[in-house]
Amino acid sequence: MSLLEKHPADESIRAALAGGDPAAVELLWDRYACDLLALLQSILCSRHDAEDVLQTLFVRIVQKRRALAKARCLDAYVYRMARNEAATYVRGRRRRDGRKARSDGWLVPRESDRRRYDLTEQMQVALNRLPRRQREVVVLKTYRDKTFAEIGRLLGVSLNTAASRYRYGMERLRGLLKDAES
Amino acid sequence: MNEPNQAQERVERLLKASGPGGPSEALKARVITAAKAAWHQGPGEVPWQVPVWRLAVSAAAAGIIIAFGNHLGDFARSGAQAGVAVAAETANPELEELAEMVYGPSRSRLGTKHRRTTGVNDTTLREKVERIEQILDEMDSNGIQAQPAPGGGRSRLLRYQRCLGSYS
Repeated sequence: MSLLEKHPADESIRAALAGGDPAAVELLWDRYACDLLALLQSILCSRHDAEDVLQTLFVRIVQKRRALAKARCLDAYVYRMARNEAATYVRGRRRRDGRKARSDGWLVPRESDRRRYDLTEQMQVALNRLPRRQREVVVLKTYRDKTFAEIGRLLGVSLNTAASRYRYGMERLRGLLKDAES
Repeated sequence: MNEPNQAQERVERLLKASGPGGPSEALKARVITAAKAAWHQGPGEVPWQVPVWRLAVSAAAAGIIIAFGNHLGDFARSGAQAGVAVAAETANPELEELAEMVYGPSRSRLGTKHRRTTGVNDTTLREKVERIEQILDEMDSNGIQAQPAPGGGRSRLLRYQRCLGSYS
């Protein structure tokens, strides 16, 4: 699918939003919930917080449904809203908990054995130490299989910026994992 | 394949061994219930009058601040220029005009400051000029010729000043 081509699900979501059909909520969920939860977890480094923000985000989307129906790029608009909600949440969390960054388990192993759990914990610590922008790109590319062009469009950056963030993120992860091994 | 690529692939493999958890059914039910409740409350978008009203209030506040600033500036300047007005009255109006024309307000302020320290008013100056003219007329009528200056850079005025002493 080219960048300018619109996702078919987005068109049905747009039509439902414009027509005042509450089924738009389920359509939005099916289309965006997995991607947005992964993105929010990468920003907040916490599954619990990401779930809270996802709920707030869906309420906000419903409240702004008219603007959303008119948006030129529905997916980029939804991602922008998600990042804004996450930023608002982080500010509130800082006020409540101070400057100390909070994180709980948000990575889960694909296979359940003891060694995998250790590795997952190690990866999560390394990912948490990445700058947020690099972490977003690494998560979207590695776990949601997005292309750099898609990531760039969704995050509002150029393709090259998305690719550079990924490369720097991977280099840094390599260094962090090497430190952890030694 | 070169070493950095191999290392990057290794990191990617390690990353893919785990991943962020997907949304649970409980979360889906919770979010959709909250979103539908918000849906039935109607769109929470602000009507167009609200931003227009905010803009009008901001413009009014900006106008008030600017007017107050101007008033305060005028007030401060009038206090600072109280002494200047006296000097300006005693100064030669032509000189005053020249200073203001060429260099603007800062030069004018310097000029008035300088005039205040010298303490020469226009009446005294006019009297002195008249006296010099009178002396020059008398010298012309007496047939005194101006001698050439002994060295470059000496003005005629200095030579006449020597003569002035004899008439005073």
